[in-house]
Amino acid sequence: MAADGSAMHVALTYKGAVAIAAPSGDIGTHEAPALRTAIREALDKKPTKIIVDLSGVPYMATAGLATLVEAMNLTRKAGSTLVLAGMHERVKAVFDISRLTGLFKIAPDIAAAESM
Amino acid sequence: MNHTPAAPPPAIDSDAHHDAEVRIELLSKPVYLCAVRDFMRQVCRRHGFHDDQTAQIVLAVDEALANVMKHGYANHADGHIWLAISPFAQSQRGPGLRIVIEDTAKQVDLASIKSRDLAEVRPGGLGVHIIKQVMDEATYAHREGGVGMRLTLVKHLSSPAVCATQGDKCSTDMTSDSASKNSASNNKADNGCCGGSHGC
Repeated sequence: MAADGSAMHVALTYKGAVAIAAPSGDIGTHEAPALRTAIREALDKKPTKIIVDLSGVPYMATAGLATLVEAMNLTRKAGSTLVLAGMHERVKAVFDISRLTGLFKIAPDIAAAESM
Repeated sequence: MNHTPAAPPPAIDSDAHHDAEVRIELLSKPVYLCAVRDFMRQVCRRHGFHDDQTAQIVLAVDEALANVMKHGYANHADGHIWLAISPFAQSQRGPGLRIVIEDTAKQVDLASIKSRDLAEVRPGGLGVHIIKQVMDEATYAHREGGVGMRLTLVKHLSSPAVCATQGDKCSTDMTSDSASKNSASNNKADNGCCGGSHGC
């Protein structure tokens, strides 16, 4: 568990100019700020692409969606690209209900996201 | 502050609570939302909901509580929230679960509780839309005594979990919901998640 009481952890790794943010655990109202912080930290390195690996996220509330919409806006502004990878079906369902699926570049896994 | 700390908790014998089998009281601290999610998952499974339905109920309750914390209590951590869960066996659509969420936050105009235009690409404001999509009924009302809001959520075991996987087929016209003087509800037709006037 993170120091702030969040059960979610975000691993940040870099492969050349590509940043990979891999949260693990539910992303709800309490956990979304940690994802926001990690993505901002990744953007500071000026990557050409940020991949958010969602394979370790079984649940996402709209706070998580809002964070990703904000992240997409930030990456666009920075001339970078945001790709979501490895999304669980139930998490994708929340994107679908919110009509946000078409807004993002979505890849089945990290390898596919890297080649997009 | 937006709430009255002295406002009473829901009466055990009130209409909304007399048949509750479980009651939870929590403060408006998002750190506890994960515990409520886990609890709701167990309750839903024990009452026979399948995994997709369970995921939808958990999402709706999580969003509702987050809305109370953020909008009702304006992120103040000392607001009280009550959650009452009532399984029911008898209804036109068979058995299900009723979940009542109450708070002592300021009362808002019921007509103003609606999902935002999904064509707007911006963070936030999606919670009400999701709640109405995934639950069979979502009814907002003012608590008695002039303080606090009450949200009643209903999900039937017979509800197909179609919206979660076919969101692009569901109507997003939530603005036509009728809002009576004391309550604003989104009671869906008997033929499924987005039935009736919602045109799923």
